[in-house]
Amino acid sequence: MSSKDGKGKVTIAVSGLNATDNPGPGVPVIRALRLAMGESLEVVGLAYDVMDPGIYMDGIADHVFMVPYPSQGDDILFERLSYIHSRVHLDAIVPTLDAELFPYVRLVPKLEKLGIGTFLPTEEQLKLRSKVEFDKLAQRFDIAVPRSTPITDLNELNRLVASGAYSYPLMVKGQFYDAYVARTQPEAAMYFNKIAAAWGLPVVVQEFLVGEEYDVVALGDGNGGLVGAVPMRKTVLTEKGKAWAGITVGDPKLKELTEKAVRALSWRGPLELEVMKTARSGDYFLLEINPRFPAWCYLAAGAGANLPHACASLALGENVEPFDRYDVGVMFVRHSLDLVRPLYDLEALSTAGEVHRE
Amino acid sequence: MNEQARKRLSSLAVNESGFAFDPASGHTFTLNRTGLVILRLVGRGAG
Repeated sequence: MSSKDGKGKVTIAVSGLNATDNPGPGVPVIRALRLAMGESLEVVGLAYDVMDPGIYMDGIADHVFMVPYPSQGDDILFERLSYIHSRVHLDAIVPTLDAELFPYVRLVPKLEKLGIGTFLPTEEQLKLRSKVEFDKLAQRFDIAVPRSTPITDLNELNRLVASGAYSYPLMVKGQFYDAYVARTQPEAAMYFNKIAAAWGLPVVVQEFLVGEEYDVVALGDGNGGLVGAVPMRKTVLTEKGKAWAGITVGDPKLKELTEKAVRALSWRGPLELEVMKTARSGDYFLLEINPRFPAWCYLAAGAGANLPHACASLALGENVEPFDRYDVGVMFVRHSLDLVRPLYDLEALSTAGEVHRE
Repeated sequence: MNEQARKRLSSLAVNESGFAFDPASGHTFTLNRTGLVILRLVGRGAG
């Protein structure tokens, strides 16, 4: 991997530095890049909040820039990225958060003109995998999914339950984030309002399946092929259902399902599949496709399939050989610790919106 | 014991101290000495 302007180091910007108990994927993506690239890599962290812990972690970002929230519009984001490029010359950007993907995908041609590489899905692919369109995707490509219905008001949910289409418990999900098990109508109403306020409408109602959940991190080559995939079982969950610990598994059915989904979508870029193996029948249901790396993606690098590095290489226009193996039985466990820092970084980010380290 | 169950048990990775890992499901188990002996016998075709 070499820089496009011959400066010696490759500069890659990564977003999602919110390494909290509901972590963004930025820090693990950066760790995976550093694992593969060592000293030849310069990392630019793109932060939405001055308190994102990834900003303050040792050995993560060489530069940090505050960026506008996606809701502020593509032009404002592009203006900011152009400025950042003028300061540190970006070779590639790896955006890692769901809500920013549409703006970044729309900006791909403009970023290309600046010489900034990306490896992202198309707008159409993004729409097809959305929770709102998910049912249609499954029908079109014969992938088993739990029944789901997007709704825009609570009466619709009540009608669906009254008609017998759904019964409690059921899942209430946001279009970008959040999923809750509702066991009663008041619980469903509470989650509907909570999700609608946070992520907007529609909210998705989904059949509740009993079984064991597996997650797969994968990278699609954009032509229907798989660059690599690593499945894992979450062994410890946070209150929000996020993985706090996990272990890689070697179930061939998970790989088959991943290949089928990536082929169906001709997916270009990173993705995470959430799969349920039902307790009763042992059948596999695809619960969700997240259009980005999951926060546990460093496990893939640790298991010998460094998918974030492969994604960055593709963003830089390089050829990447598909991974034909990964290690089964590799586990991870998260931890939390306090980072103690002088005020300088917070000061610089709050006032100038950027911080640089030697 | 049916063939499927035997296959499943044989696929477990087991170490000397009785720690077992199922590579397909990701589950881990701890076996006592008796369990370890039984599992080895099953692996050799007993049962």
